[in-house]
Amino acid sequence: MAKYLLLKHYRGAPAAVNDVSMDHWTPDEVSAHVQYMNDFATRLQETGEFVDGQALSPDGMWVRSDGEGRPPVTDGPFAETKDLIAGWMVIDVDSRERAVELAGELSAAPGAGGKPIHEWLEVRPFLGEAPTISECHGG
Amino acid sequence: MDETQQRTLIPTVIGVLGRRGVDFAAAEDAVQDALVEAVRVWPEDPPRDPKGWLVAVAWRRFLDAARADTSRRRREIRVEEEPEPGPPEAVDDTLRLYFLCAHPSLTPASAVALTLRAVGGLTTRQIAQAYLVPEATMAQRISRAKRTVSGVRFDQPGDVATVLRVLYLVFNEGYSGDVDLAAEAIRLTRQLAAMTDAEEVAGLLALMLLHHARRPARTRPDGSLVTLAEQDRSLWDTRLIAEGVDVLQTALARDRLGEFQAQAAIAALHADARTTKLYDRRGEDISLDEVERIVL
Repeated sequence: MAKYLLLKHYRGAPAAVNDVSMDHWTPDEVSAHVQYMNDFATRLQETGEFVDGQALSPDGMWVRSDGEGRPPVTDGPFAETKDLIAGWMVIDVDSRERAVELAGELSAAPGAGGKPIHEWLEVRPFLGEAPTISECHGG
Repeated sequence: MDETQQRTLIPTVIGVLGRRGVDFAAAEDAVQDALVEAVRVWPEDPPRDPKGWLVAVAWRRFLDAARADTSRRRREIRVEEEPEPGPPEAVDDTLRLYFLCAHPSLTPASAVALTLRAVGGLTTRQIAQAYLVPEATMAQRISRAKRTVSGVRFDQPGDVATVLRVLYLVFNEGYSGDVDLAAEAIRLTRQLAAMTDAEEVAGLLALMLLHHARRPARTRPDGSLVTLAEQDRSLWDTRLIAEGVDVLQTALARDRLGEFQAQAAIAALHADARTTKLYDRRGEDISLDEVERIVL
């Protein structure tokens, strides 16, 4: 099994097919969208492939250290950020093909007009621990 | 009796319920319930007869579940229709569980999870923690796996190669979480080696022992990997290496080389090609080139 992060972007991803941003949806369309994602997560729980999923608020800030003994520096909100993450789902699946299949399904969540968004999702494999017996072949 | 010893009882207890006519899925559920109860109760109040305790609690859990089940009637009839349980055969029961949990109809991940629970005697929570997934996800994975093998006859011998593949995966998973999966894989492979006579079982056990022996030298404090050539050999567990070489040598002498024996031979010779000697059946030296030709 390998874990994959499916990343959903508010912006920064290539344009979706049904490219109407969420703030232009009706409340029912938003509910249908959220319902789709919840159903999707429930189904993955039943197949034993669900690890985690969260939606992120578009608010937020940057934080960095400003040296020892000084309070961290904050900046934001992300007025100038091109890329903004909307949420994620972590899945644990048997193959890369399965990860792609599920991401495809998630990308078809309904948006404006109840039609699938066909949005681009970023799919990132987790950096796993090296298997115990790998060093053997490497010498 | 420590936790590892307790866990060796689990497959036997599943076998006892099986011989009383309970199907695998229900028996395994009942024993898992009993195990969770044991984890809770035993530290304060250890039983005098742990196996008897587990059988009694698991049996009660099975009866409770069967009563609660809406298909109660059907199940009772089925239990009655089962043939008389034969004489107790603890070893065979455990061996059959290895085969069932590694059945080829299961995905590798399902087979691993089911093996750790039914053969390894780990709780769902421990397995979930070891694989860094939520407990509910792991529970679903296991119950789906059980549904998949529900039609498989429990008394048929399987292919030991599928079992070895599963144990290899467990060993290779590493050391995250509370449960040391590498140590658990070694325990389960040792137990298997004691029940079967296959050279490749010995080969896999040797491979695991040889790698486990080097574990203390394998990583730096920051977690990065140290290659074999750079490892501090004084950190190696020489007792485990000696055991691994010994197990391997016995298997090699039978002249039925397989993938795991070859990998173990490479591990042994790489570790110390100057002083480690491996011999084939005719008593001739096996060289590193020779085994590498077979594997690569």
